[in-house]
This record gives sequence, structure tokens and C-alpha cells, in this order.
Amino acid sequence: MVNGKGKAGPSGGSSKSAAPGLGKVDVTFALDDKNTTAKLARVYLPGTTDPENDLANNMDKPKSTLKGQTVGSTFEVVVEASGTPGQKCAFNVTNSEPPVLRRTLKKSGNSASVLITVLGDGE
Amino acid sequence: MIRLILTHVPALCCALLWSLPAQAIDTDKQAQVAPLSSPDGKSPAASSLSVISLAAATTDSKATLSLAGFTPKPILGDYSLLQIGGEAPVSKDSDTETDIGTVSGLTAGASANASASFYWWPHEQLDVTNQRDAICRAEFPELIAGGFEYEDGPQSHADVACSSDLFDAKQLQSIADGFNDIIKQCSRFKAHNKRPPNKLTVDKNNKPIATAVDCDKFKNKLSWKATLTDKAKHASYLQNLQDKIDVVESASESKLVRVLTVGTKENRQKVAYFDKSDLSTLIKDHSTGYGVNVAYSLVWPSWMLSGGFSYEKTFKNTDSVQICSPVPMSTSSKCLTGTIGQPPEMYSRILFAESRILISVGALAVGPRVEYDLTASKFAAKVPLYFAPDKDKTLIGGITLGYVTHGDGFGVEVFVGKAFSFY
Repeated sequence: MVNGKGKAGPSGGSSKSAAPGLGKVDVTFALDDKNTTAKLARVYLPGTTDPENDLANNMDKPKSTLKGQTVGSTFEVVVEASGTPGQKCAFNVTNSEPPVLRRTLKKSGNSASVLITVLGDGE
Repeated sequence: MIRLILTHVPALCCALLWSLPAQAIDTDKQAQVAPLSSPDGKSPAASSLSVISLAAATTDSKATLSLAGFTPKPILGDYSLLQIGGEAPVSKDSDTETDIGTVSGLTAGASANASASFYWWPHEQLDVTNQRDAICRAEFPELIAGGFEYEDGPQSHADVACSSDLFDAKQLQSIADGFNDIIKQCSRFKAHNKRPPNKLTVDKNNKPIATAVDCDKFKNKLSWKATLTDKAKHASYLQNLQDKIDVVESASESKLVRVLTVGTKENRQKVAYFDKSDLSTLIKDHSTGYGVNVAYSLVWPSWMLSGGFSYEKTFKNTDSVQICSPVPMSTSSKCLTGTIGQPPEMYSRILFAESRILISVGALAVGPRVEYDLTASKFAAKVPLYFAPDKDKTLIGGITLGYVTHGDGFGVEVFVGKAFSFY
């Protein structure tokens, strides 16, 4: 699990059961602007403390890329939003599953952790 | 009131046409009016959206533009937002009238304002994430039978997020169905000796096609079948798990966003006065007032509470008089209206408190605000009731009831506007 401040990627300890021979790919996170994104929303690695390390947020970082992630490995992100209940916070992950996660805000509980498996590039 | 709205609709349309293309707004990226944001763009408390609005009141009618954007790097706190804006009367007659429900002396005439807001919204603490994950990991096999674990979640291609939403019978069924579908596809790929695609694709029914990673992870599970357990069918058991997640999350303060806002305002308004030594000449001039304000706001997912202080240099509003003098070579007289002598400077110290509360999701919000002028011992209150739009209703509209002690009394204002975002 990634811990503390810094730029450590999900490969820094959280990867599990990487499929051999499938190589490495870049994984891009982007807040999905086609949905009713709440005004304050962000995606980050568990345990990071510096908002500058957000993978994506709709304050100053709509998307970012984690380079060289092992295909088949699984890592975790936290998605969090503060906005109007009933709205959806959504983000896209390319080269990974799930391709889009939509998180509907409730009156209480506006964060979730999500496991993401890195997929290969191309057919 | 209706007459005022109709009169100013063209002005609003022109303002929108001017503003939106000029700022290159992508309509797909429009954010919503969260309770966090001021519906009419006038409040000095925290607002995170750009707003253009037109307000027609019993006293005046004004157009307001407020542009807001987060800075690429925080200046202070976790995120920093800068806002600039202005308001101006849209009819000549209302140039000297003040807003309803406020004790501020900086609302008549035209104003420009700027503010900086600093957001403290720390990331969720790792122990909160871990405690929540521990519940999901422990309960997942208890709810979906067949040997599946929480870590298998991504292979279902359903939204498996560890939150209270996970503990919903419908959601669990979609995850179980997802597992079974992927196993079926992987078995078929194996039977036909075909390699699954590396990349995630969907079939003609928009169902995900199993990937190489899915089939690799499930290669020893091709005989498994996911079914919901009896526990997953018990609403009380699921509710208990949702409550457990809520307890873990409520221990974290990360959902509470704290915002410090500092701002300044410059106001220019017309004055007309008679020189005390020559009451026959009306002097038309402008006065310029200034104000600084500071506000601290607490923002929860559905409401906001804010308090603050304003310090203003304004000009005392003395009573106007009418002075008439004979028109030369006629029997008529000409009357002019103005104050006797230049309006004196005054300094106001204003305390204010404001809340914005969502009453109904995507429909109705209320933003009560009270102000007290410590210098003049004046009190003001206003209650805007407005439509908080969802994605398809990005127009803001509402009505504000206002009251000021010592003179101005009750007032009503109708406003319409549009929120937009640069993101």
C-alpha cells in the first residue's frame, strides 16, 4: 500500500498477481466531464496526503497518467466528492478496469475505494 | 415585477452571448450549482462557480458577473480559488438604489470585486480507507457465494466500489451476474482455443467482452458460479453493513471542506448635492467606496455554513431635498433634487452569517443570510429561495425576500442566471 507523501505509483507495493509476459502500459485517469460531475471531486492513491498528488481532480488536474504499470496487476484508488447529493462523480481509466466508475453522492458517505486491474494495450 | 423581468430579458441574453463564447465554455463541462456556490454571485462567502445573473428587485435591477477558477498550484490550503466579478445597474433609474436585505453601503451603482478562497480538504486518512476496505473484504464472500473475493471485483466489470453502496442487493446481483458472464466467456475462449483481447471491448449489446487479464485471473475458477447468499437477501443485514461503513467514514473529517475567503470591493455610485454656500447649483459627481471582507465557511455534502466580517468606507445617505428657483423670463420655476452638502464619509463594520441548504436534490435550495452593522446598529436579513439545477437545467432562478431595519424595510427580488465552469 502506498503510504505518505510523494509520487509513488500503485506499483509501489499494492500490485497483485501480475500476468506474466503482458508487459507494462501507461494508465490515465480523467474525471468524466460528460457526467454531472460534482464541483469538488478527486481521485487519489490511498494514504497520500498531498492534494498535489491527486490522480485527477476538477480543481486543477482534470487528468494525469501513471506510467509503466504492469499489465494484470491490481491497485486501489480512493474517489471522493463533495457536492450535491444525488449527483454523480465519475472518472475514466484507460488501459484499466473499470473503464468508468460512477459514484453517486449520498447524504453521508461521499468517498469510496476502488480496485483497478491494469489491462494490456491493443488487441 | 413581471414588467421588470420582461424589460431586462434582452439584456440578459446579450450578456450571455457575450460572455460564454468569450470564455470558451464547454457546455459538457458545466458543473452544477452546489450549495457551496452563491446563486446570484453576490455573496462574499465561498463560491466555486462562475455565475452570470440578472436581478430585478423592488429597489433596483442589476446584472452580476462572477468568474471563478482554481489555481494550478495552491497558494494556501489544499486548493486555492480566485474570483473576480462586478455588478452594474441595468436601468438608469436604479443607479442610486441599494440592494434589498443588506446593510452594506456598497450596493448602489456599479461595483467591482475580487476574492481569493483557500480550501482545506485533506485526503482521507489511510486508516479510514483500510477500515472500510476490511469490511468489504470480510463481507464480500459472505454475500456472494462461489469462492469469490473482493479482490476479484474488477473482473465482474460492474462498479465494485468499497462504500455503503456496495451493500445493496441489486448491486451485489449485478456483480454476481458479471462474474458468471465473464467465466462463461473465458470458458468459451478456452474451448475454441482463442485468445481473449488485451483491451476492454464491448459486444453489440454493450456488454463487456472478457479480456486476457480476466481469463488469466479466472483460469482456475472456470467451474465456479456466483450466487447471492441468504445474507445478501436480508435488507437488515445489508443495512447493518451500510451503517458500519458510515461509522468508519464519520470518524474521518475529510468530508468536511473548510474555506477561508478574503475579498475586496470597489463601488462607484452617482451623487447629486447642493453646495452649502450656493444652493442654486446642483453638483453631479461620483463617490467611490471601498470594502474588504473575510469569511470562513464549512461545507458539507448538502449544506454550507459561513460567517464573516466586512469593513467598508462608504458615504452616508442623507435625505435629499428639492430646491426650486424661478426660471428667468418666465413665471415657471425649476426644481432640482439633491442633498445639502457632499455626502459625508462613513466607515461600517458589518458582521454576517450565511447558510446554503439544499432542500430537494437538483431542484430547490435556500440561502438565508443575516447582517449586522456594528457602527449604525442596523440589522438586515434575506432569504433567497432558488432552483439548484441538475445537468439539464443549468439556468438558475429564484426569489429573495429581504428586510432591513431603520428605513429600508421589506423588499423582494427576482433573479435569473446561469452557472458555468471552466472545467
